[in-house]
Amino acid sequence: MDAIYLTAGEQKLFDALPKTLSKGWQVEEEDQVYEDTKEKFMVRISLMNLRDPKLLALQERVKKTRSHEEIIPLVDQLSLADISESDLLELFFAMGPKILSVNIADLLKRASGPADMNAIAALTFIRRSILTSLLSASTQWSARNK
Amino acid sequence: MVSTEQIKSAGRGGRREVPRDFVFTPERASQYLEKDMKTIIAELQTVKGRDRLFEEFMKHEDQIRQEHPDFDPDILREQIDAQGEMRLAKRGLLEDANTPEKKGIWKRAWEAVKSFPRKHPFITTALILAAVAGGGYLAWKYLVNVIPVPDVAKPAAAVAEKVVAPTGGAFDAIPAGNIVGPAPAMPSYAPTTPPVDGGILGGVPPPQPTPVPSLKDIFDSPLKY
Repeated sequence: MDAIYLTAGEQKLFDALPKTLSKGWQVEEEDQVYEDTKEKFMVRISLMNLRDPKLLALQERVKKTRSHEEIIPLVDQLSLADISESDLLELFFAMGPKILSVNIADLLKRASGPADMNAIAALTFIRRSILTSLLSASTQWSARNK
Repeated sequence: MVSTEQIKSAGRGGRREVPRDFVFTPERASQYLEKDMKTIIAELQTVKGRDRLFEEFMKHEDQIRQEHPDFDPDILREQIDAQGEMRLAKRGLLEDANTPEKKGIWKRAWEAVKSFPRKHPFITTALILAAVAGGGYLAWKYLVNVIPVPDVAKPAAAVAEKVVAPTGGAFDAIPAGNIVGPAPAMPSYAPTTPPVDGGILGGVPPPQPTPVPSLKDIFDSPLKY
């Protein structure tokens, strides 16, 4: 993975990185624009179909909590490395492009090594794929509604 | 018919319950309208079907309002439409990720994502989303309080402190923007000018906390995605 898909704003952050980090990456412009809304975000959460036993067990533990402050210690016991890739796709689709963009911008501001750059490139690829699917659906949806 | 749905919340003051927002889902439609899920899903695929679902729901408006005083028919219509569109988008994404020519790049992407440190706040955000989704569909008012979009420079423990509601955890009592971060700011891409310290000692200004956008801030922002 040597391509990194950045918005115009993110490219400024990328350009400000030390050359040791930015060298070798093929920057491509992310120019897909999609209007995400909280209603769509809520629907995506409702469509999440998680099957990984570790996540299902986590959900069961969370159901027994008495307040939201009890959730993070439970969550901290897991890492994404433990989670199946099909469930990761479910999770990232639910998150959607807005949350991903906030994190990509933050990561660009704090990147300090090749692993960070790989992670940023991965997130931009995932965001691009999600945007493509959302825009495609939006176009098909509009066409059907005519 | 569906029973009153509540979010369990408890703070230091003890357990209490607050009403949920009304959120359309096929499951809920099936319960309210006494139709099977297959029929509901099929109706979501067409304009006529969605119109019918909306009209049938509106026949239960009085009952819905008793359980969800903030019920808004416009939002219901938006949610019904969003159901159709998001289902289509998800199907497209799953197909894309499973095409033979894309499998390799997706695999490398997941490997990079999995290399994030265990307690990286981005990971915490993702896992909280997975954890709370177990309650079925969730209320927006609940999510904005539970899911921080954290300052990635801080460990999860620091995020946890921010998530704790200062008044003891009653979700409905706290302005959402005050919980996960002090500044409702989106990342700014504009070039910034460092603050000028005009103090007599000429010292360096104290470091400012990094703004932590909340979920509400993100979806209220003009940024399209």
